[in-house]
Amino acid sequence: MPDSDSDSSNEGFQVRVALKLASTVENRSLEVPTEPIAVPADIGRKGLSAVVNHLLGRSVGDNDDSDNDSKSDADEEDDDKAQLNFEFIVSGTNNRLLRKGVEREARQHGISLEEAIPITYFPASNVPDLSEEKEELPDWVSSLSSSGSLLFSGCYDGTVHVYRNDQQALKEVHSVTVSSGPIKCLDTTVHKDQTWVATASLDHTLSIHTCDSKGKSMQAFGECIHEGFSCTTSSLNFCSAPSQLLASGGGNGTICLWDVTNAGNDGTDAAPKKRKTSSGKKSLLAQIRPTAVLQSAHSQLVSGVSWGNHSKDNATTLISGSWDHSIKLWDVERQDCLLTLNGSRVVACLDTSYHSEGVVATGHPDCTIRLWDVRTNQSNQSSVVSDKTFRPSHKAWVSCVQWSQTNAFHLVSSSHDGTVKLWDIRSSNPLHTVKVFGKEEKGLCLNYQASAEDGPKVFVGGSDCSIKCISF
Amino acid sequence: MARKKPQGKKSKKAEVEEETPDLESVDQGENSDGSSQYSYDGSDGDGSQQEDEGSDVYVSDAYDDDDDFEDQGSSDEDEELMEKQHEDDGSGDEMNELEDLEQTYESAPRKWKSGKRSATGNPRKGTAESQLMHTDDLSSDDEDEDGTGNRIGRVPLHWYDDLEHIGYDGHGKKVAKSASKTEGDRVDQAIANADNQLTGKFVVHDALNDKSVELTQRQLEIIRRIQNGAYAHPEHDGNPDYIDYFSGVDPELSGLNDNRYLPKSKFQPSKWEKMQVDNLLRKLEQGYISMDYLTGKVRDMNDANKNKDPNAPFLLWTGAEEDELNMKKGPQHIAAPKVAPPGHAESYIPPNEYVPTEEELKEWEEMEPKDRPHGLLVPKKFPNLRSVGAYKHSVREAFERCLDLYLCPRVMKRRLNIDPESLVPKLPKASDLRPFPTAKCIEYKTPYDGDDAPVIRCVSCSPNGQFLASGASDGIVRLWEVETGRLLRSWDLSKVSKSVDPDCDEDDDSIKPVVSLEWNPNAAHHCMLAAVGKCAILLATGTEGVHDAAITEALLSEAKTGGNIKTEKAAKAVKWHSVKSESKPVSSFGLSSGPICALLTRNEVASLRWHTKGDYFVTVSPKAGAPSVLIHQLSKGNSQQPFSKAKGEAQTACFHPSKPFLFVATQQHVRVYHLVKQAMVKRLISGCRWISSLDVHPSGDHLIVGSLDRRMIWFDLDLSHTPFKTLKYHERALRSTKFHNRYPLMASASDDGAVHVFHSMVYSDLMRNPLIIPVKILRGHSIQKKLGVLNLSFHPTQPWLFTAGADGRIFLYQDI
Repeated sequence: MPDSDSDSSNEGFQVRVALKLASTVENRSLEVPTEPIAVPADIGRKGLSAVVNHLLGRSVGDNDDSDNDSKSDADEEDDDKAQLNFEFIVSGTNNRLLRKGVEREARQHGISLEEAIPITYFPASNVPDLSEEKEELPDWVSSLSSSGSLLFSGCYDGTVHVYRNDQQALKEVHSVTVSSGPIKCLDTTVHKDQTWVATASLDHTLSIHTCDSKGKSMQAFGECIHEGFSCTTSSLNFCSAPSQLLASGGGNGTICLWDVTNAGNDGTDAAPKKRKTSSGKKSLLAQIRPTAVLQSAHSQLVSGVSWGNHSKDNATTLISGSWDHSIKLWDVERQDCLLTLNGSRVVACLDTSYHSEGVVATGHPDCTIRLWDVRTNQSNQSSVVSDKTFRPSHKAWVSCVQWSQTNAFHLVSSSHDGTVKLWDIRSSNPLHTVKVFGKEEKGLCLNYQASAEDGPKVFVGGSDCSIKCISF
Repeated sequence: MARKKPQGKKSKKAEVEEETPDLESVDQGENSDGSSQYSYDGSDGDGSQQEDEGSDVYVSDAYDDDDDFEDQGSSDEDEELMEKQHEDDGSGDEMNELEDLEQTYESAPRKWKSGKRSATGNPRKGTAESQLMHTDDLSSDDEDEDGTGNRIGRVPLHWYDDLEHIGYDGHGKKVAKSASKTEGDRVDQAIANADNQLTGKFVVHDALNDKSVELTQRQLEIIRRIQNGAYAHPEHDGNPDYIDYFSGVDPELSGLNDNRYLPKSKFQPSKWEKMQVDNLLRKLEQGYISMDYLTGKVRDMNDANKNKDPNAPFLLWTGAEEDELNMKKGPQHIAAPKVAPPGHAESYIPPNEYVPTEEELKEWEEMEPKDRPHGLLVPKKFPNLRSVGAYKHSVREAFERCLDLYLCPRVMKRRLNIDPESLVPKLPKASDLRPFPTAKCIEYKTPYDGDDAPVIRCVSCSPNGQFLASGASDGIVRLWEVETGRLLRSWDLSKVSKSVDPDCDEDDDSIKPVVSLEWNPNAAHHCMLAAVGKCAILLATGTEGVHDAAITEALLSEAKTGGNIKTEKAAKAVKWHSVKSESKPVSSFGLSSGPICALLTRNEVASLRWHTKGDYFVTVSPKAGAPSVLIHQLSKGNSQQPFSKAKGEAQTACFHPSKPFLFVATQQHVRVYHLVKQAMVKRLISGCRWISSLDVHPSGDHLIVGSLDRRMIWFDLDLSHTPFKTLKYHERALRSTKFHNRYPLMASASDDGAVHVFHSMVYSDLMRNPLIIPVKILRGHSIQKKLGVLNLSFHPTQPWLFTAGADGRIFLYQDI
């Protein structure tokens, strides 16, 4: 590892940088002296990373940089002194991650090279690791949802499989046939020590099941029935505690809200009663009526609904995306559309950020992920899609996009091209790309699990009838 | 005569000037006597009465023999005098008749004294000045050669009234008044006048010299002639005989001077030239041409428009464009073609390769001289220049060149310098016409056994855009989920078709392909139609929800029971057979799924189309003769045979989206029928040989036709029965053409494996033509057994395109 002085003598032109550890990083041992140091002008992320490692005395003799990126991650836990990768943000560059040389970045944003350039750094996210093991399922996996340590997966044969997420491997706990048709989407929530599972199937049914905390038994609770709701439910989202409202978007543009968890308690309407289903079997099921129906909320299929804020207790806003190219923000109590943002492409999937309110990521069939600002309290209503945030890096239809619960900047996406990509919204290119599926197999759904002790995990399901796990 | 004459003509002139308006002439025509002679009063009146009169010469009609009258030589003065005399006479007693005469003179315009007269004899207006000048000119002092005449000049004569003399002669001596005049009284004058009249004398009194002058016959004749406006001198011949001095050729006989009088048109400006000039002016005003073009500076306006640089420097003081125009008149000089410079063959020691061998010489001799490589010349080697003789063909060659220059017409060939780019209409960029399908997105993989994938013959998308149906050559209709490409259901219709058809053996292994497939365009009707063999098979898709289930069930109830055809004719042509199927519907609300009913026609069904409302549909079995085109109503289970006679082999048919029209395409024509009136409205002549597909624009005013001879033909139904546009882009036969329901898009699929996507904007403004722009060529299908893309279908709500290929693949193309 050559030191910075020798570097500069080789390159000729240098800039001075002042490195500073980001304040959000808890591990303050990574701090380096803030005195400006001279580095080659065209030094990039890797070079600066090496400089920081050198300053920290983390250099490992026989590991060179390129090796470090790909291989040494496994050793990191073992060797405290192993090299780390860092991300850098040149201050004044609109909070963009450093991807080009320092000089180019600075010139582009009009930062003077005369003075020391302040650069914030923080440890880079780990290289994702695709575990070899995979859980075989009988059919395509169309939806995944996790609640606590349980992972629920909806399948194209109409079954829901429950997995317990223990240490390294998934363990199938239970499976139940929920509907006659393929399950299109699934969402879960925890209420009254039970996990409530809502599944929507292509056969136009929306059924609610309850599951105990172990996942051992799963019982049908009820069916959501709405007379006008005659189309396939294409998206589901449970509101978090305490209201536990379920929002569903339909194939004909309707959005319905269901008070599922309270359905058994109040009113005679939702009381369990005998009903003859179309398939002829008798069942003791609650018939749940929608608490609110947003008729013709969209003109076409509603492909994504998401409650406006994951974190807050009482959700009042709902965000929906549709095939009619628009994103709409709804006030649930007033049943009123607050904001309509029109894009140019079909919205295939949608998720709202856990950390910052009003930030929505959408996946589109044109291989692109777009970020939307749906805040309405701004004076100017020009809050529109930022088309340039991400480059179209996927090669096919983006089927699912989900924000990281832990990192406000990260989101993961899966696509029909069989890859899963980790994105940082401060960079237009993905941080990491994992080829999860083989050729011509489509990724259909993913679930980001943050709570596990061994770092965040992403479960991916798709058309190769298996669930795969990526650990970050 | 008591008159006293002032001496000096100047005063006289002044007097005359004053009196000019009153000057009167003696007009013969006005003479009350009607005699040709002048009446006059020879006697002088009382001089005191006429003092204000300047010119006092009296013309008397009477021929006086008084000798004391002198010829004044000035007719003007004569007349003035005469006039004066008349006035005097008027004051006298005897000459009443003359007084009358004078009155008539007074009343008539008599301005002829100005000295000139017009040919008509009317006196011409003249100024007193000119009159005086004339008087001066004509009055000659030479008459008074010895200087004895009165030389007082033009002073008023009355100045001398009180004196004894009337003036002075040339020698300064006093001229005495004549005694007779001064002494004579009116009686004498009257007597003298009477004498004069008797003797035919015409006596005038010269007041200046105080004499009476007798006018000679010649002078009278002159006066008379002047009065008549003729030449004054009697000896002058005004109209002499024409003497033909040119004696060479008789113009009449020779014909050289035949048309002596040029026609009127020769003197009038040419109308044709005026039209041309007007035309040029109009063009100039409208800016089609410039002055540069008119003056010949620019040969071609296309060049001028191209090279016009507004910032280019220009000459400030030009403007002599007319001059340049004048300079360039006449035909342009055409330079004679140059003779080719001499080559090696003309050398006296040509290189060996130029010297012909004997065989070549023989060959040359057989050829025409102009075909020979060197013409008449035969290259030959000479030892030195000296030994080179005269060139024997020089005269002939020179002659031929002269002939060529003389006889061969040469024309300046104006090369048409048109930039080919400028002829191409300006089209909007394809990127401005987004969205349109650009990239392959999803493949729908048909599972198959064996080596060859089944040829996908048809695709159709459900009205809500979530499901796709495909029909393949293995007789199976498959139901796909659009979003993921998941195969949901597959129904084998080949078996159904065979089970219905009584002609088919049960053991027949042949598989009937699904030729045509269309999803019911009504979103509430969850069914579709497939053409398999002789059957049009109705399938329930089983995708309906709660509400639509009832609607669909009601719609399909008749078909499930086997239909009830009302007319016998149609009953012969088609039979509805209900079919049982055990397929489970996709939706839990769906009541049935799979084939429900098979409509067995007499021959192979080639095409079927729904009406937009999703109740009626039309089937076409091309080889079935008269009942080839059948219209069915699903809700009533009824069929109709609209045509009793087949007009050509119907290929495909299509409903108008809003009006009761049916378009039926035979091999070369498209006929438009009004279904209510039951009459043919229009016959569209496509100009192609074999129509393969047909689609109507959602507005109903436009029609596209795809043909097997590579053409796509656009008809504007309001415009004409001939094609509005014929597009020939494909390399092989067209299989399918479709309009998009919402976006201004259309596409054509061809056997060359490509799909062409067009932007096809139709304006509601009838004056604007539809805008058809090719925007994208979609490739991706491979060609199998000379078949490429067999069918295409637009997504009902998105600018997406489904294509079905002979290679067994179905693609979804999206706008990326």
